[in-house]
Amino acid sequence: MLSPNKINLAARMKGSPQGKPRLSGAARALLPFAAVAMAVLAIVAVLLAGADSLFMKTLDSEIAVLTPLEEAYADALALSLRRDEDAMRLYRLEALVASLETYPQYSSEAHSALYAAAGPLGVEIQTLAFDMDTGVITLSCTAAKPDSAALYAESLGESFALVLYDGYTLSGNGVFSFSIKCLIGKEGH
Amino acid sequence: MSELTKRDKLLIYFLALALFIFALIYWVYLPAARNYSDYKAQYDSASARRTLIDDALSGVPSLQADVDSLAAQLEAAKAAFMPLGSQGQVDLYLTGLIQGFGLEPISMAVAPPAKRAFAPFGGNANLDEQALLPDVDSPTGMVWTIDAVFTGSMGDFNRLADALTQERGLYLQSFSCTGPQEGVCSFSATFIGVSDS
Repeated sequence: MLSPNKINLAARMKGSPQGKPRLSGAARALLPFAAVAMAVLAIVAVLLAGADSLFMKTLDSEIAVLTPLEEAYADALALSLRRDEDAMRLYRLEALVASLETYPQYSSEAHSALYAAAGPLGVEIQTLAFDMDTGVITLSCTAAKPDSAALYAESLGESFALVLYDGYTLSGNGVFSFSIKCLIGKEGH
Repeated sequence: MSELTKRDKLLIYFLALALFIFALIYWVYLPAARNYSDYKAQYDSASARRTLIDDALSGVPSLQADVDSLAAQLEAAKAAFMPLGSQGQVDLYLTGLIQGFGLEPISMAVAPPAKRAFAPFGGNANLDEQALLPDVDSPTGMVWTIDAVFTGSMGDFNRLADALTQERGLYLQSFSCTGPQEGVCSFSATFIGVSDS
């Protein structure tokens, strides 16, 4: 039993006992529309929530696949870095070897060339020096005859890439002193 | 309250429809669109990263082969250099080498290894200084510098010099000798040992 102060909504919806509607005309007119609108809203909300959940699931599965791959990817990156470092190191080593191979080396072959020409001309080699950085053999020689110096320099020109001779001097002991510089080639002379 | 006219009802329906559309867009569509946009961005990012990773991982076998091949080549290249030991080891080795060719050592000084650039030898025109290429990009190596004084015959020294041309990483940097036509010569030589480090 309703108290007199309570509103009987059902009665209001149906109308008064006299058959007069209690709801206003506008409200009554909107009732079916409101019902349809609520239903549409609910359906759209449910559909969107479903789609939302589907996207989330897809994203989660993608991330789940990705996580273990990240570790393998980090290893691959480290491997790639190592390859680059090794390649650079090899390049440097090969460049160093190639560069060192261009430097002339003193050998018995050069020595033979120096002495083979000296003997017949009576030239005596007093000091002999070599420097790898310049590739130059420096000779300090003596000879009994003045023309031996120039002839010796000429004959060395056939064996060495470059020969520098700038004259002789008569020493106190009656021999002619002179110096010669020879550029040693890569093959030894 | 009087009854609504048909025109009033129509107006109310339109207003309600507009309100409904606004509510649908504002409270339902826009949040969902924002969510979708976020998911889409995350998914695209994850998907792009996976493609990147897949591509990288597919190249791992050839990458590993490259690394193995380079390691083998590096080992082979190192054979051209002198192993970096101690000063004592270098001293012992070179003293043994000098004595092995019948030469008599008098003194030996081994300087600690130092980095040195080796520009390719360019020959020279005046025989005073080597015409070196610019030193900026020249390959470098760690170099032992050994100054030695010894005596012996020129023939023995020549055999030592010939052996050094075959020696790995050890070079006769410079030498001078006096009395080369006499039986015993006095040699002052600088050797360099080039290491790969």
